[in-house]
Amino acid sequence: MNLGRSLPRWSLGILLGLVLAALIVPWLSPYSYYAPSWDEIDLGPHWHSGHLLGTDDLGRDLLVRLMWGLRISLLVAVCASLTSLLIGVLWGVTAGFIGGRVDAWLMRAVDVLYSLPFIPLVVVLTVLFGRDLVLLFIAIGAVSWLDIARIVRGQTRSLRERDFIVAARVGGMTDAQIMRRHVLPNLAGIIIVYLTLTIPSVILTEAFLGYLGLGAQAPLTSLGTLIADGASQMRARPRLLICPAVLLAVLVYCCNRLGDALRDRFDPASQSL
Amino acid sequence: MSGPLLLEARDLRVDYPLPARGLQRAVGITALQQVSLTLADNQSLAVVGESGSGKSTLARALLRLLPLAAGQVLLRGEDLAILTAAELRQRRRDLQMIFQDPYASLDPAMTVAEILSQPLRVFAPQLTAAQRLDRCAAALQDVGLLPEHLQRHAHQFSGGQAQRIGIARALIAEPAVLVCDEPVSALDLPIRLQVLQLLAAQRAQRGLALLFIAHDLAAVRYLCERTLVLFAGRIMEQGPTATLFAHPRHPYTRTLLAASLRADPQAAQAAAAQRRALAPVVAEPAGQSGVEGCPWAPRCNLAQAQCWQQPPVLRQLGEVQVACHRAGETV
Amino acid sequence: MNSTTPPLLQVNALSVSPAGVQGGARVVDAVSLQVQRGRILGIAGESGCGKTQLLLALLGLSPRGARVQGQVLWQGQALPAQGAARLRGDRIAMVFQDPMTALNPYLTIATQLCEVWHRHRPGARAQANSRALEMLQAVGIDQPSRRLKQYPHQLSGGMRQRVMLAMALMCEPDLLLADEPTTSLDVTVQAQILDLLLQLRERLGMALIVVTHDMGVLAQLADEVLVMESGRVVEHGSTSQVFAVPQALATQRLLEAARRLDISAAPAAGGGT
Repeated sequence: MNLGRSLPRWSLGILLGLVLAALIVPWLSPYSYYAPSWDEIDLGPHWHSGHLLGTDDLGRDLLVRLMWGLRISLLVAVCASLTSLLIGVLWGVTAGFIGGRVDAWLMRAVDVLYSLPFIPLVVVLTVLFGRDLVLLFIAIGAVSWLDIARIVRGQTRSLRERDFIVAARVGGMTDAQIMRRHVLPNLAGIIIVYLTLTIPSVILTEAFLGYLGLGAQAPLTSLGTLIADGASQMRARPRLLICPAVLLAVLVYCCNRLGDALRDRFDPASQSL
Repeated sequence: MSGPLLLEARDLRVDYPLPARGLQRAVGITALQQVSLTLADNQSLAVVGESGSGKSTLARALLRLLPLAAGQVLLRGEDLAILTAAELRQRRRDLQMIFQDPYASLDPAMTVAEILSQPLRVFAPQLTAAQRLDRCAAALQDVGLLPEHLQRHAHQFSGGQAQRIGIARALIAEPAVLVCDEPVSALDLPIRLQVLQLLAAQRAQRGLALLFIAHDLAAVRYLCERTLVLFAGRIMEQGPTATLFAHPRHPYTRTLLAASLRADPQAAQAAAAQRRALAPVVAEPAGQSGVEGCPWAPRCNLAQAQCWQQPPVLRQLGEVQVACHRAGETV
Repeated sequence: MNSTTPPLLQVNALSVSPAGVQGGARVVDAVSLQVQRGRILGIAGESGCGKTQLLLALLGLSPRGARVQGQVLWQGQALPAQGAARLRGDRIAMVFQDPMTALNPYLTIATQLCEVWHRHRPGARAQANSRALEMLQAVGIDQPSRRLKQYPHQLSGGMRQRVMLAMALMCEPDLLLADEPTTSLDVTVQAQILDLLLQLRERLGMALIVVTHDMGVLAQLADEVLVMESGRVVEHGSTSQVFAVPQALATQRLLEAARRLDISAAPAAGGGT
């Protein structure tokens, strides 16, 4: 039983370092992320000029663009995930705990929403409201809550039959109190695991939208868009693909590692594999 | 009988609906029928039966955790069914429960302190956090644990200790009745004895009324003055424990007694011989299926034609009540 | 008893150290015992005394990484780990404590019973079904042909325990190991299973090792009793001997609990006004 295991220092450190870098580097660096510089096209990593990772095909500093991309990706991922979490958990716990008709109606609504095609929906929203970052959060968040709602509902239903919930009823607690004090904390583990899976998944979704021209509008960039750009120039300038891809991989790995440790912390009786 | 009636159940009936299959109409199983019992202050009543006898259903029905198809549950003369939800929650202070699986009844995400303070938050909201903590520490010491255990989680304790925490939680708001749903079945024998001793001590100390549900007659003998025997949702026999054990009137009660383990090799042999003598003799007479008779008939060594046709009525026979067509005969 | 026939099972100084623990804290500590053909040995002890680990070690089923020392002799021949695998299910069978987790919920009873047969009698596949039917009848299950097609969850606890027994008996083993065979069962079913085990000993001449914390079980079944505490054998003798004059403290504790909870005992103070 690894009760005393502290949070994995490397993963936490790297994540914090990345967040810090995303905030500070663009501010420190003299180079902008969007202004093309025709003199400096396609430079390799060059210590003297401050282009630590070189420049891209428009002469923009790659490091700064990476950090900006990281900012946007993290922002979209966190906001969308939290939105979907909030809606999904409330929905799922209510449906799972109250059961009966309420459960049936709530979950049929989920089924209907599942059947809505995602991309056409985003296209419609974009047409109506223009290409906006906030719109992106809402669109992605509005779709991803469905998964967590189902998972949470399932967990709640099985929790509902457990003796300690019965004991809480015998102890005079109302349904709302039981949901808040007993059900939610016992869902913490699964919620955290879900979050650490969602964040990278949202980053990828956003990249996909960007590829289709629906996501963050250029010159604003995200990790996904950078990868998409780099992929199209893979033969000539592999650096443009490798750097954002490695960054994304490290980000995703650290998120998962942290999620694992957090779940152990919140669910003291569980053991990680 | 000493004192006014604390808890009374009249003619309880609990049905479980079964989902309809295909085009068939939904049918139900009757888990309990015509069950009546009484419990006065400081009394202890055992409810004994196998799995499927309805004993856990009875516990939950008494605590109003299940809807009743018929009958009433009265706490100090008050019908629990006519109370509002809020009133019912307040009455729960007097009607607490301990469970069979010591770990499942404790929230794995909470510390012992949080678990024990829940009832206080509901039933004694006027207490400050510090006062609550004091009461929790006192409650733990009462059951033989230490105040430092307050910060631990349930899974860090042994089965016996976890059950003690459950008992501490049930007793912390000072209820009048404690319903025990097979609280020692999952424990080793020596630990079982300790927990039963704890329950007996708490009962003596607080003047608590106990409703003890078990399939193990031995624990019942240790703790309860009166016993009720359930089979297939019906009462088969009820009366003072000592009388029931010494002179069982119902064949099922005799079977239960013969099946209990003896701690002595020779006594064990005698019991085994008795079990052989109680083996059912008669197979179901042809053409009887569908007619409702005594539920014990298929396993009874005394079953007669009448037993297959008519369910027996619970009637008084000396100190006990028996539901058996042949109870009056000298066997 | 012919003194020149080697005992069916002879264990000499068997020790099991759990994986990862260097020195000390053995779960089974230098245990020696023997079982003659057709005899019943009872092993008593509280949870954690090592009795289950002892049984697993006999069958070569100790957890991976555990260090097993000492000697196990089957009919006079030493038993290496691979040898044990050949005997398992065939000459030595085991019945576990919780029938629900010991049976595969996704397979029918017939499949699980026949699995054992196919493993050890590959030349006689055709007889598997009839043998399974025979075994179900032998353990007292009603309507055996119907039960064969059912799944474990469709049977009651007592019936599942009987199915486990039937599975153990498929190849007519010489020795049956039973780990708390009746602990989770109703008292009437418990008595039936114990009576059944005695009958099987009479009919098949099968030897039995029963592990339990309840001395009452051993009072009924055992010819000899072994008491374990913290991995060690603290008492050994014939049943009548151990029950009449228990020497070790652990034995006295177990006996006292069993006696106090015996229904023919005098009522304790506080119960029975």
